[in-house]
Amino acid sequence: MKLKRIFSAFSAVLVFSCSFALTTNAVTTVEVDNDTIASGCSNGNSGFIYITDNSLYNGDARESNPDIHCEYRWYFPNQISSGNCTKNAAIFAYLDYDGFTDTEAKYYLNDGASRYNVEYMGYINQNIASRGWNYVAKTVYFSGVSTHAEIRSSDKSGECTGADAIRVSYY
Amino acid sequence: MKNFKRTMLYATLAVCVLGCVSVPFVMNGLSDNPGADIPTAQNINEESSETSETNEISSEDLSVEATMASIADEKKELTKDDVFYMMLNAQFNYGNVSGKIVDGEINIDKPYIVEFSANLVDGESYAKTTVSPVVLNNDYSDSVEANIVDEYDSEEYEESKERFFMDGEEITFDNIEKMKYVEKNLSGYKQADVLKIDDADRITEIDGEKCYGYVSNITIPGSARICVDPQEMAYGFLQDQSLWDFTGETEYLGRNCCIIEGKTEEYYGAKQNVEKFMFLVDSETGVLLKYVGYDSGGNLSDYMYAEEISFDYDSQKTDNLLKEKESCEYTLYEREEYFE
Repeated sequence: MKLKRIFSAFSAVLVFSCSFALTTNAVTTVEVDNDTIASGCSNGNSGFIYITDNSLYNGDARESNPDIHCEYRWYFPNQISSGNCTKNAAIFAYLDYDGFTDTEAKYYLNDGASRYNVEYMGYINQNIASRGWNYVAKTVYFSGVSTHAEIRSSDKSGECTGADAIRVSYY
Repeated sequence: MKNFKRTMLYATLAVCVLGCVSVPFVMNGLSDNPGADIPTAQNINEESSETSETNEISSEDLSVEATMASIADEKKELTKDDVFYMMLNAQFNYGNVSGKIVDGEINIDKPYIVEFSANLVDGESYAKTTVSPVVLNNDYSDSVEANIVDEYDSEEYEESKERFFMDGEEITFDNIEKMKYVEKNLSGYKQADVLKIDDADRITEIDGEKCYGYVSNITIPGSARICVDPQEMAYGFLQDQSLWDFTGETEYLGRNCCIIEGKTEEYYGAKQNVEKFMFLVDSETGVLLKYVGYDSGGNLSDYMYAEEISFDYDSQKTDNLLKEKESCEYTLYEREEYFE
């Protein structure tokens, strides 16, 4: 009888815990502002030039060389652990600079399958996007690792791709 | 006494279990926007499916009165909110789209000329983008329907790219450099898989700064987005409703359009070099059929307009074009897998 009571009480606690967990929409967000000391994150760069301006996030960013294909990566510590039931990832880009004119700047996110794999998330017309944060896209995510986001230039003549701060939210 | 204790224990456990099970429902009810941090929270799709369930056709809906009321609703005047959100959600108002646009947003003398065709339902599209010098039409300001570009040489290109999107694969051919770019294994490209954003979550805030939510759909060719999925244009030009107004209606390319005229917000206008602008927006879909921007001196400084538009898609034509391109010699671009 005592065991039965203990089991009943344990079941009640278990149900309570599960119910509460269902209501908790935990969001883990990593913000990476390239080149500033404060961000503490590194970057990978192919063809992007360092620029400074008051309108940029913390005063600096990267701009593509309009004559060649350019790619840029924001690296950050892995945000996915096997126990946190992460299912979605959303990427946000900070845009506030006259010189960012790529009409189809493409954003990618490391998909967890390997260090190099990236998933094409979506594109933004940086030339006519409004200033501030821009939510680019979200994707359903796999467990594994996620350690970088990436931007690639669309290579249209005379257009410059901007790479300033980004945010990636996992939830 | 023993029975009383047992009864109390079971009653307590029952209350506890009931309380716990009901917590999620109660908390969800209390939360206005559970996914506020993320504009496209999972619950948005759930809400959509709930709505569709309540919209099932009943016999009452089939009555003459209901039909007449429905027609009256459709004919009601569009509000500013209607147009703003219709432009943001234009891609959900059609399944197929084809057309040709002239887009001078980067250089008004050398606009992008984009021929495109897309089947959003199945996730297929084609776009050919060329750039060549044009002669502007001096009479472009005579009417909202007048062409801005008078003539261009459709054979002499400075840039020419063709982009195919089929079966989750994007293939781009650079006809000048003779290069071929391939993106494989793309997901979420069919219209049913596109993740919507609720209107209320379109503009949110991050640390006090505005955050604009874009519905990503990689089937839509980027070069045609300004026309068929004009999300950036809606945010940039129509966000502040005190700066623009409806100034009329017109038929353009066989489509009923509302005419919008307004001023730009100072900071945004400075970046675009546009102080005043005019839009022709398709009243049924939110597709932007024409945009003309003028600088502070009243001179033409920016434009985009459709030369052709139809809401259909020729799958066979796209297949044939791809076969034709594949038979030509292009060098496959190979990405560096790692760089520092």
